[in-house]
Amino acid sequence: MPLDTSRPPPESALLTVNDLAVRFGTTQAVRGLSFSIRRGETLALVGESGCGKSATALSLLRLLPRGGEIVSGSINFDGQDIRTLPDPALRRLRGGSVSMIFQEPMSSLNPVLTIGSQIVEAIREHEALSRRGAWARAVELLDLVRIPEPHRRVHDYPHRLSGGMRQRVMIAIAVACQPRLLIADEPTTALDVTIQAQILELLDGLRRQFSMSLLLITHDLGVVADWADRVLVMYAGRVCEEARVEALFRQPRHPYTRGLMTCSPRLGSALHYRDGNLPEIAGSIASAADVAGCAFAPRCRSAVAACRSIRPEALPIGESDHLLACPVVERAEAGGELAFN
Amino acid sequence: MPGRSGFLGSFLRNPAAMAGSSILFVVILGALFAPVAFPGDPLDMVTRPFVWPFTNRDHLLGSDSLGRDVLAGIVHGARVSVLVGLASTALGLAVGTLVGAAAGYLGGRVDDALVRLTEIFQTFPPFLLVIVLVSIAEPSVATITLSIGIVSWPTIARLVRAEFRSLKQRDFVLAAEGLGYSRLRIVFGEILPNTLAPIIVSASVMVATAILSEAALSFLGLGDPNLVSWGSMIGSGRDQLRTAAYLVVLPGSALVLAVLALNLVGDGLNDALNPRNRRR
Repeated sequence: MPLDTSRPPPESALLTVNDLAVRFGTTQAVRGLSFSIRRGETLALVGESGCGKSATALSLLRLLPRGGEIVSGSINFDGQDIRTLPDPALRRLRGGSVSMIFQEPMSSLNPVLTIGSQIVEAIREHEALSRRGAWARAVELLDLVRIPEPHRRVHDYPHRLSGGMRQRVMIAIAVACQPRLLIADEPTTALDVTIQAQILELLDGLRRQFSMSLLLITHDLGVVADWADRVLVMYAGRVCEEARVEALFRQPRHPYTRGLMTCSPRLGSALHYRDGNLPEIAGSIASAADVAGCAFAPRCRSAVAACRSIRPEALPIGESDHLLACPVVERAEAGGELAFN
Repeated sequence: MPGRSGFLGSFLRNPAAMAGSSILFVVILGALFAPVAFPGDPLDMVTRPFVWPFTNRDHLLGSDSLGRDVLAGIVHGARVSVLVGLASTALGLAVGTLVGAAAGYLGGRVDDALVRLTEIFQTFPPFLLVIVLVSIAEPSVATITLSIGIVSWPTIARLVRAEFRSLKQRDFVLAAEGLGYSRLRIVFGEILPNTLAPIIVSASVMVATAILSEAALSFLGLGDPNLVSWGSMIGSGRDQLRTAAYLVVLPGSALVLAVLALNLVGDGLNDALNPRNRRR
């Protein structure tokens, strides 16, 4: 697919994904996605369920389940092409330079091993450290993720910990070998709202402390607004809009981004459920399965006839690092007519 | 193992399991110290035939038709039973776990091939297969152990395969892959520990089945002719069932108690290892 491969990655990019396509059987989950993460930044990947967020995250470490495969594109991490990396090197990368935390803290820990031994295993997989030294590091790590009484907690089994505590343990394991990129796939979705902020604050603190880059995958725009530097809005496996977080929230351009924002209730807004329903984007993502043009067109209120036949590309507008895949909006802003001519 | 103290506590509070463990302890003690307590070959004639139990202080449980000491026979027989029971179970566990883990974890064609192999073994009636195998080879403790091990692994393989198939889908396996663990390490370090509870429970029943199979073989005269075993004692006492029933009843009781004990321990382990049954 001739997407914008011409766009050079920023100098400081740690991870560059180019034209990534992922398929599960006959279903295309990701259809030509390009983005890059700079050193030390938090990039949020936003979109509704089924838009290919998790498939993207898993393919970054070639962790796609059986049946899923990377069809095309390249994934470059710090000069290494992950798609062609031999297995031993890939295993060194996983949990070493690139770590991942998952959505479900309840089931991501091995129920029959103590949390201490799970942290120790992860450390010793990547570093030549004595058992005693690794245990000491495990206690430090639990302290780092703010688990009270870490020297006692290391001996606990996962079922003795709450969801929030388990996610902290997962984070401790993930940062055990000081990765340069941490992929967090919906890290707070399964947690109480009160715990969410604590976990995200912890992740952000660790990112600064270890100068990590963070790829934050979420569907929660509140999380994005508070913690991300840049945002990538995904729809049906493609980029709709990519921008710095302030710019995106100040002026969302893409109809889908705007739709997402009006869908989120805000504290202090005048809207109350007695006044009417929360706005929603009509239709579902499934309706975007294999349309020829813009995948969002069937649900888009500003769609014109050409939207259904010509596929829009993500092109820079205004400020250099704002990308938009909607010619209709682009032309309207440029003062042109609301149609392709 | 989940919550060691919780597991032990739960096992110790279970009277049936404790009774089973005590009997088992005595059996193992007998097996270990038989040569010390009853030196010499228990197949030697040591007194006149048909001494009834509790009539002679030197031969507490009496003697059989050839004047062999019954108590010495039972204690030495425990040796054979424990040896065959443990060794054949260990063999069955090793083969069954490997086959089951490979089939369950790898899936696909490997799974198909291994399931077919398992099914082929399961189409034979197990005891018939043991008899065939033992009669092909020379009857000895080693061949009997091997034969019983060969017929017992399919059960474990099926159990382990089912466990692996469901466990490999769990998030912690994906998390382990994400940490760069090798496949071998994921299989043996992450998934296998989660299957230990059902494996241990069925192992206790496997030991009991193996002891029964060995006894049945010896009863049929297919046992090791140079060793005394509970089954061979019952077999040779069978002719005197109406005149000297104790020759069948005493080794028979030892067999019943040992098998009962193993089943009680198995039930106890099942309750103790199952977190849903554990009191907190």
